[in-house]
Amino acid sequence: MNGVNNHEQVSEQVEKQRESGSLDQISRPWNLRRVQIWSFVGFLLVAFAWSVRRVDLSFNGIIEIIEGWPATWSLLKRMVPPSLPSEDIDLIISLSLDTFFMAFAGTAVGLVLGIPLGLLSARNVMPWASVRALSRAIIVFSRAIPALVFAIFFVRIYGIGVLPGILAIGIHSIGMIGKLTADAAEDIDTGPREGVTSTGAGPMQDLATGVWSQMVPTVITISLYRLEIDFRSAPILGWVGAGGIGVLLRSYQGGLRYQEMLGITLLIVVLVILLESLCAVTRNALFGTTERLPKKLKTKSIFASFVSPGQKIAELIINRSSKKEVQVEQSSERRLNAPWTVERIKVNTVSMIFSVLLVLSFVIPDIGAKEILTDSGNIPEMLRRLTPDNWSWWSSRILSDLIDTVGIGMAATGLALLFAIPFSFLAASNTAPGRFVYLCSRLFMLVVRCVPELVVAVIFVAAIGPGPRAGTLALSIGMFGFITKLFADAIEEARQGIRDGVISTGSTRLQESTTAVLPQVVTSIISNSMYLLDVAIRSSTVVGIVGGGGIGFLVVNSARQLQWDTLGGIIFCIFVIVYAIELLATWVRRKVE
Amino acid sequence: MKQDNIVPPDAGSGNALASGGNAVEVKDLVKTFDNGNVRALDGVSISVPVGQLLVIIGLSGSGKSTFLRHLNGLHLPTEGSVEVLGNVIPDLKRPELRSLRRDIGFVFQQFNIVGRLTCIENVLSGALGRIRGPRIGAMMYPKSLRVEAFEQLERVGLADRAWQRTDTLSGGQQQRVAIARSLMQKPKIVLADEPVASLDPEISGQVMELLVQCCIEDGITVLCSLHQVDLALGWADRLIGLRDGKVVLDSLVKGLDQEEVMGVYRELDPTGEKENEYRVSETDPSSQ
Repeated sequence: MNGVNNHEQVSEQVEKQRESGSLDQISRPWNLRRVQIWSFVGFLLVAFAWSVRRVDLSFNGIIEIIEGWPATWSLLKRMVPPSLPSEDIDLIISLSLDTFFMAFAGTAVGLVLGIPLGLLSARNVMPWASVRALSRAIIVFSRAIPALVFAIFFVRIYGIGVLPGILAIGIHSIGMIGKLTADAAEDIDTGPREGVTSTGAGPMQDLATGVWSQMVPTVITISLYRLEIDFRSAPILGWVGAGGIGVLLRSYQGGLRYQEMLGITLLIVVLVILLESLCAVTRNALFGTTERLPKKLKTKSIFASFVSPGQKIAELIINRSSKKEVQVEQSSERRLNAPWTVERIKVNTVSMIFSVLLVLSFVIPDIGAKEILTDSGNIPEMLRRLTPDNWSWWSSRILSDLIDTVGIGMAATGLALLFAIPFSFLAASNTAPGRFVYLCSRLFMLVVRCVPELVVAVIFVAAIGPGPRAGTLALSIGMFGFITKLFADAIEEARQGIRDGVISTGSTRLQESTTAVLPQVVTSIISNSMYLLDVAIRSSTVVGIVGGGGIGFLVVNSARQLQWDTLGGIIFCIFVIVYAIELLATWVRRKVE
Repeated sequence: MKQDNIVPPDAGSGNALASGGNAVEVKDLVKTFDNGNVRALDGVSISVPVGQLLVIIGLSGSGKSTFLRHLNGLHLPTEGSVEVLGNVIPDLKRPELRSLRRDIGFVFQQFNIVGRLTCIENVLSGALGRIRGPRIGAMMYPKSLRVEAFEQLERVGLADRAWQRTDTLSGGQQQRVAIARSLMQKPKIVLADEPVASLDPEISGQVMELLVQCCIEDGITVLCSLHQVDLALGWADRLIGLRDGKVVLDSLVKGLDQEEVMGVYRELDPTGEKENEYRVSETDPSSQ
């Protein structure tokens, strides 16, 4: 009885409040932050709508694609079954090897140049601001210019071959390696370093013992991470003549041999998957789960759920080794040398394998050591020609292509997000409706992620014709694979307690996902989306090289027609756009985090 | 075992470093942070004769760490003079400061060892001042140094852990590695900044005992800041109390009775808020 009375009283009160207007409190009050957030969301939606129109993927554009379906279908039919021509099989093998070693040597070049530059740009290592600024400028520049553009430049200098590919990968890698190395150096604990300084160590001793020894695991992770990225970008470099399997992709496309084209594409995908698992296995063998790494590098590999046996084996070996260790300690003479623990054997074996691969990567592909000596002298002359003296290179075509580029990047980001957000809930172990769905989604993600987006672009251009539409669709697939993994990992970190709280109110699975999980991951989603936009704009500057629309077409074209000042001007524009988007993305990410 | 209590001689006689001279000579030391808004040290004058075992007590934020960090040049004074082993610290050039640091071991509250490196590598890093050039890995140090490092590890009882990564050890063991690193420097002075504050009471007593014993064996002057007075009373020659950056107590330990010590607490902690921090625990064996 009492309860009913209470209930009546409450509804009376509500009635009164409604009359007096104080029930307005029931909707959330607007404050400045809320206005900012919603206007930003509104701005993003408008930008997305604009970009979709710009790349011909609005409603009418989609209708057109559907109407053109018969033609596309017949083209697609000509692609199956994919084949690798037996007469070219030797060439295919040797070009695949070239691609592998090109990526490997390129990463090595990037590490050799990038790590010192990174250290020089770290605030706690390099006291002189001018040196820091200079090395930071080099790092920013090489990050903003895509490897394909560097490849075009180096092909002009050294001619067609593997060497331009190695240099292009190497120079572009400096950017990421340098930036992450600098971050790693600035993130070290100051305590141990102080301990080393207070023993009276000199600056180089301090760098080696106090700084570098703390950075080693991070640097190894950075290297493997970069190697993975370079394995994905190397196959396409042949498209502009920089060696590797891309050369064949280009020639089959030129010869309209669609079956072979698809065959090569699938081969590339298989190669990239193999190489990525090599990196994952190495990482597991070296670190297992013992090492503490900076959070942003803790990209638990997409293989983590598939190659855990590697970890098991490593643990097994470690357990067996601990028995041997005791024996080593017995003799006092021998204990002065580092004992051969399995940990050490493992590290030495891995570094030996990588050293051998490194040597091989400069031996097996025909690099052309002669060209390095004879043609390197042309670089200053080339750089001078690339610097425009006036604005005569500017044309309205460049402007409209640059706008297209931004449109492609934005539309691809938006499309990728549209599918990635729901999909990532299926690919996260704690929200997936079942183990089977989870594994299938992860596997699907893995395969999609390993497909280099420019290779997809080649297929799309062949299927629905050149233009921004093909580029956007291809990019959005690549971006989808890239972002679902980040989202799924973020969802897996959501706290179970909060979810239990919502589940115990009797909610459905979908309600629980939106109420308990989504709010926990929303900042991560926003932050990663801005990062995605950054990555997408970088890629959109080059899809045009394979016919996917945007500024890329003019890049190849001006290089082909030897219009150097135009090429230089365009490179400058690309730098400005990519850098501006990066700054914007970083700013937004800092705001939300 | 204990040194004779030496009455601190008057300031100004610290230049001569003969036995009986002063290892540390600080006069009117003032240190401000944050553009003068925070006055961490406010006119501190302390002279420490060679071989003395000195303990500095005081609340958190009273300036203990700041004072110790002045003595090896991790901080530079805002005003006043700091003279260590006959060197006037603010006047030293970088290389001179480095060679002074070689003679001063520093034991930190947070150990400040490189966790990723093996114990022997951490101990060896104490010898960096004696050799030239950077070293990566224990095998890059000469064999004679490795022998020496093993001896130091033996002294702290960790020789069997030499090739183990330091971050796999317990807190007390890590601090012992840090002590071995300091001893590896063959220092004339050891500065210990709350060396046992992050260890549990029993381990604290053991680590403190080890540190003091090694320093007495090697005839090292010790300046140690501590939270727990009871840990200090067993072995210290002299007790200095800091409050708000000022010296409020400077007394030899000999003859200081329980009643006086209680007086010290009250002086350090007039409000009585932190009484427990200074209480002599009845159960702790190291308080006798």
